[in-house]
Amino acid sequence: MTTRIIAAIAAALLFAGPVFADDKDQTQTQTQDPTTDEAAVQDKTQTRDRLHTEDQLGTGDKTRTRDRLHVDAEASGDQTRTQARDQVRAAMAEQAGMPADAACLPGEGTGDKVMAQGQTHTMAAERAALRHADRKSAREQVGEAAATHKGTGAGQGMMGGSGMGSGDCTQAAETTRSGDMRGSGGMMPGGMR
Amino acid sequence: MIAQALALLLAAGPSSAGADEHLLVGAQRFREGRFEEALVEFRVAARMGAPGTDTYVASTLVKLGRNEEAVELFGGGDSPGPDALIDYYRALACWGARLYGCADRLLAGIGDRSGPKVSEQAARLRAAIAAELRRPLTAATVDWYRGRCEDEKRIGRKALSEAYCREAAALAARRGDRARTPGTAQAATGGSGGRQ
Repeated sequence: MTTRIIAAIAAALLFAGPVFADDKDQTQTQTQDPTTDEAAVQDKTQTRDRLHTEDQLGTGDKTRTRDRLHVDAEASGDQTRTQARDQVRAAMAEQAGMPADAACLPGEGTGDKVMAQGQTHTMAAERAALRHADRKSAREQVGEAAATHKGTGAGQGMMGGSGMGSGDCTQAAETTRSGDMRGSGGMMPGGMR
Repeated sequence: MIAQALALLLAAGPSSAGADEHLLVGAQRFREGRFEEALVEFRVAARMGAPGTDTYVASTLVKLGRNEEAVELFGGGDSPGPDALIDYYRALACWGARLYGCADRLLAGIGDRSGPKVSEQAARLRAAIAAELRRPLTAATVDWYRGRCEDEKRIGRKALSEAYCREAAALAARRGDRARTPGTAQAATGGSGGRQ
């Protein structure tokens, strides 16, 4: 009987041990939980801070990169613009010639006639150029970038008639003409040296 | 990164880039003597917002013999600007429009600011103008300039009109009949600022 009682107590103790241990663990866990949470929070905070910092740095980097790209793009644009203007200037310098017509003060009527002729051509050519420019702009706006670079037609820029110097010019003008300037008086595209 | 770069390049101004492209093509056409085509390219560039393209358009108009339009676009002034080459084209425009006084003042301002070729040509043109202006001036000549002044005013080309008025006033003064030029003296003193 005694033996049975001892065995029962031993068994009870054996079962109770883990229970107490679980309680202890649970207590310990409960005790540790705030710590763990704090650590986790701290970890999260730190992580968040780190991520935030990284984000900030990253954003800063991105911003810097974007700024740099923007500056690069602007520099590239400026460079292209400068190149384009240099090209235009070079072409202008190359084509800077002498006038085809001699100096000739208008006098007894021929000037008016010639000017009127010039105006007629001027207006027609202007209209044609603007029409072409409008068409071209429209094409570009709708994305048809492969615009042809055809002109508005040959001869529209010519000034007809015999030229300014045909009638009322003086000997001074004639002298000039026979020297360095051409005497035809017609002002054709490219008619300057 | 590449996408960002492309986006930024696009954002940097596609119209500007397009305008530059037209300027480049215009320059090529100008160099080749294809001035009608150059004119179109420069005008398109101007419409696309490229700044300062008016002088290129005006210079091309000079090459096409459309000098009056060029004078109007240049601004009609005869004060030398910062660019001697542009001044030379302005002088050619004045010459072509028979504004010899205007041309002479612009050519005088070129001096040796330009290259030897343009400077030498400017000197020759000035000599030609001086020779022409040594002639006795007739009333018909002065009247012609006055007429042009009025005509251009009527059709709204203000700068060109003022340039003709100044020329009329200067020639009238040279003839000694300043009293016959009402309204032109004022034009002679004002509005001579050119576009540059």
